[in-house]
Amino acid sequence: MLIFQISINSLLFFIGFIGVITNYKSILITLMGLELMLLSSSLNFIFFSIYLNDMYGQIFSIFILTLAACEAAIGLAVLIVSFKNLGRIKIDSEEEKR
Amino acid sequence: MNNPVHSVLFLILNFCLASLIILIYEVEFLGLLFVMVYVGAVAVLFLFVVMMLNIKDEIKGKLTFLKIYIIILSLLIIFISIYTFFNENFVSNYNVLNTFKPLKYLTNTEIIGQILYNNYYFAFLIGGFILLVALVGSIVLTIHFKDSEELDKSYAQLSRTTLTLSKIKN
Repeated sequence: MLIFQISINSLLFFIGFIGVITNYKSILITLMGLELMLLSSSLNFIFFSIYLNDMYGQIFSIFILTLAACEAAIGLAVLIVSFKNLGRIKIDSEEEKR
Repeated sequence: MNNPVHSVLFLILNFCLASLIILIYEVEFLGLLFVMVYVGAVAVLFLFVVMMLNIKDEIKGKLTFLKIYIIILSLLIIFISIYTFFNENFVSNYNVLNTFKPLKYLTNTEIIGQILYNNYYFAFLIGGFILLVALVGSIVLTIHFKDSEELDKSYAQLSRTTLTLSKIKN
């Protein structure tokens, strides 16, 4: 049963990972993939805490949650500022290749 | 990716489903916390940025696979939920009708409160500090004064006392 849960979490993790890698459109999609990866790791902690009857996994997932929120806020702030300066958020564009 | 709003909406769906998985295992505090923090704060933030930045692709094509996928997924969810709800072979302790049992044991919220505030209070305080740093950092990054006249106006407004006000009146 635990193997089933771990495999689902790893599938979600790799979906987010592939979303981060194969992304040529915008940095916003990269941030979304990062959020998916953090969600899968906190779910993993919770499943282990249920299996081992230990409370620390759930408490640590609370902290992972706060860290994910802070990271999303700061990443989006950086994105907004760079969009103001650059005028675009496409990753590969012709002007960068010059 | 033609429409980033679709991506954000599916991210919200992911968070809601993850919270549902957690709620099934009777970890109700974390399930509701996930919905509140992830959907209520992070996904809303993403939506605001997507709305502000107005990202558009030049190539516009109608994705009909998306509509078909949404229709099939919603029909599957509705059919499976109705079927398992009314079938007597799917018996579980986690059914909705069993939530009116009297509580004879500690709830998940109480257990987390017992452990987080007694054994791991330092980590809790550091988490609050990290939130403060993130708040200050995002404000510092995105604030910008147009001219220096705004700063002078705020200084003049703050340094006004009752004596100067009475002088102006007279």
